[in-house]
Amino acid sequence: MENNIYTSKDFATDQEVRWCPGCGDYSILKQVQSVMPEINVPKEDIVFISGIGCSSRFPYYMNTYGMHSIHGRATAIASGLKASRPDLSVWIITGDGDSLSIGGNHLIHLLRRNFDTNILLFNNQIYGLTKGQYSPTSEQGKKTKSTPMGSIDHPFNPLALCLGADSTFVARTIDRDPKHLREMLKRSNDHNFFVGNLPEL
Amino acid sequence: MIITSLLEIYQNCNVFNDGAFFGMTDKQTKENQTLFLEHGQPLLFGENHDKGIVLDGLKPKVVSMDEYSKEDLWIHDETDQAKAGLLSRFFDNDLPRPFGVLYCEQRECYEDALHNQIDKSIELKGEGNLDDLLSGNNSWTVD
Repeated sequence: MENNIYTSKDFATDQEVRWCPGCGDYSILKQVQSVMPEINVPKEDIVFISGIGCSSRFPYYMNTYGMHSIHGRATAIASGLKASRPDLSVWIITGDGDSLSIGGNHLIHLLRRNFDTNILLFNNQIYGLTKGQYSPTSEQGKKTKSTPMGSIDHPFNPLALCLGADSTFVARTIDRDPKHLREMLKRSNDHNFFVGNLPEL
Repeated sequence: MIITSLLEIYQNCNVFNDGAFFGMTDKQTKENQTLFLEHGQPLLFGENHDKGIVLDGLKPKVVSMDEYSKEDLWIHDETDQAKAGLLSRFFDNDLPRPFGVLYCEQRECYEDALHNQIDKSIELKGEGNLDDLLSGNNSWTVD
């Protein structure tokens, strides 16, 4: 297909965005929509698959194919889809609760198998959709509705976990730095880009 | 060669966990709390890049650039899995939080291996027949 036949508006939908005003998810949505025209994939060949949680409303707001699926199972469903349709561009949208608690097992097996998918793990260190319980990435001592005396759990370190599962690409960015976020989204998708030798200083 | 990408995005929940990452975005603190990785470049951070990271054996250490040169510092190599592991452990300690690509390698993806195996199997044994498979001789009797 021709380069850049789309604009970011082509990836927006007519759905009312139902995140809380001021949520960091808006920034991520905007950057994903702006990066999509640059990946040069027809819209009908792009699929966003989510689990359950605030971030998992994401597919409603992307004018592509999408599945708002089962808690923690976006990774499992994406694995099945890629096995049957390797030609699709598959994006997995998940949160720290969705992917690291109930979906932890599916996540590590997708990583070790190395399916050609892009996982966007929205880490806000809390269960937001259910109104504020501690998550697998909440820090020790975190006071929430389910931990009124402070969490005694040692939190997951998501990137150390993913490296331990032999993930082939591991990166981190932040919602409030849109330039870096955009750069990392492009890099996550750019399968052909790979560094060779280290440049000299 | 295609890869699974895992991008962790720190995302502020302004209702139930507001400010969880503000130290990494606030103008007063972010320079000292964040480390932006670039392949082939030294690990520099702080105001005006006045600090760097060196490796003391396997232990990362923050040093002042008044006392060290760029050539002394840890050079980021996103193909180095062992160092990526160390970077991922810049977490809840006195080290800055790394942003960017910690690790990247090329490995055959699952779906390619799967379809290659299916193609090879068909080449060796033909298309096959589900009814024949179900009525085949690999069965057992329960007494």
